[in-house]
Amino acid sequence: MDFAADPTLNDIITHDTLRWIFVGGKGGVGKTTSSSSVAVQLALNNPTKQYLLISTDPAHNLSDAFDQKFGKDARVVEGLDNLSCMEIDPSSTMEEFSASQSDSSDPINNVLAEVTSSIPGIDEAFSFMEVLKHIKNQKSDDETIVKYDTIVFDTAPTGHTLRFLQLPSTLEKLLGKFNEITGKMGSLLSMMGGDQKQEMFNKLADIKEQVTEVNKQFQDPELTTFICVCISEFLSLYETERLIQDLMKYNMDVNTIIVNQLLFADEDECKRCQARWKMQRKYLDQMDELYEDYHLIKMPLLGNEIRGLPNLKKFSKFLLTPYDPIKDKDVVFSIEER
Amino acid sequence: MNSLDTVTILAILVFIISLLDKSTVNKWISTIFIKKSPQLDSLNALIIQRREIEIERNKLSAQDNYARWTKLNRRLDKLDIEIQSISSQIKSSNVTSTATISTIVTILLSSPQWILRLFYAKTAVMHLIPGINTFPKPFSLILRFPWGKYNTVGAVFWAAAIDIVLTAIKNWTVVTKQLLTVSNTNTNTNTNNTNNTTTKTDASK
Repeated sequence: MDFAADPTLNDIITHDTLRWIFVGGKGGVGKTTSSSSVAVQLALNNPTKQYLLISTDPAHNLSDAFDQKFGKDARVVEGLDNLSCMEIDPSSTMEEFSASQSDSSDPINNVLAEVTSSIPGIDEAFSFMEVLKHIKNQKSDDETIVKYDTIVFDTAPTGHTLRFLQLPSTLEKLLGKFNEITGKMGSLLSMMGGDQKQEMFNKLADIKEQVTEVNKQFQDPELTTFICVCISEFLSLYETERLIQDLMKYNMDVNTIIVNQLLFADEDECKRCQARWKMQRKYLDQMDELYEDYHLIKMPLLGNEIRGLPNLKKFSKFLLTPYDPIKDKDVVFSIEER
Repeated sequence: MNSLDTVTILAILVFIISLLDKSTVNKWISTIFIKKSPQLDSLNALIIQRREIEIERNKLSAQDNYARWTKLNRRLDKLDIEIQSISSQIKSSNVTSTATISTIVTILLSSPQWILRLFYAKTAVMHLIPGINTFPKPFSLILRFPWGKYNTVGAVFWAAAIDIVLTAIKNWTVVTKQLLTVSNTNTNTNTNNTNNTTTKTDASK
């Protein structure tokens, strides 16, 4: 018997235990719009739950998508009380980190701050630290801290995302090596660091514990899932396939693909649209064959930029009810210009 | 065959064996063992299968047959993992067998020398005529080393003497060969230089 997966986001929306949802794909395929839409639908359909949408993409556009300014602290979306957004700014976080580490009286801290800021992939590391912070918050007894049921990540383009997901294991390896080195050079470090050594060890042990937990959570399909976003073009599909294969190597659950910017131009008079739609359909057929057990959600290309909550609501409903080119054709040009 | 002949032949044999490079012998034997390993057969089969799939994939247009092309890529990825795993298994079993083979080769290569030293320790290959071939006592001790009778030349000393002579011949051959190579190179360079100069002179004319 052939079971085709439901081409909607229903599984994720009704999933009770999901804590982390990653949305990622090649640059320019509509990741931010998709992640915002997913977050909006989660918040609308589960009003008793609290959601947080974090952008880890260095080129943030969550503020543009919601038409509301977001910063490094979570801020509630106007008109949707149970959804908050934040944009992690790697450069300012790095400056804060450097400032906290820089102490003119301690040359080791200064060197450490300098070295840290020049490490490749430090952007992802800071995004990851943010995840750690939220894990801590979820466990905290402090009632003033908002505890989010699910955190949606609007990730950076593919390469960054994979580096971000590799971080727990990289960090684990790094900490293991660090422990080994400090074991061998303990006396020398005592001379240089003095009392700070124990403090540093405690910090590292704390981070390692959290990293291990995150690793475990990211690999648990009951807690974490990944949504791939792509457009119906060769390179985008190729990169999506690579991303899926890599995610499977990290034992991450991935069973949803959003195919964006589809023209659905069968009844259209525009010849160019029809030609492009023919090409899109060719790749869609191939995708249907390749990803038959995935939730393949086909989203339309709308007439305007999807900005602001009302527009996001209009667009995101197609995540739950597949777009019908005849019934829903008015929606295409109903998007308000901002 | 008298003891002089036996010891001389054995000493020459020991010298020939010492010329064999241990690592080369190890490689020969390891290759024989690996060739018989069933893992190698399955590795070869996987490599052939991989090649066939690669050829099939390369014949396809990725854009026209994306699904089939990707499915072949997935199979290639799967095969790559299998190939890597079997290769590392072969490598690790090779390390273990190489260590065993190396020990056996070491024993085999050094045993003739030890047989010579142990079995012929008391054997005299020559007898010195008292009064004519008399050597000072300490020198006589070296000649019959380790347990030979007084006024005799022991097998161990005789084998060592043969080894020294053969080593000298070997070294002389190597040095002569090197000298000949150097002189040939110099001659060739000089000829080339002369030819170049002649060509330049012709050209300037």
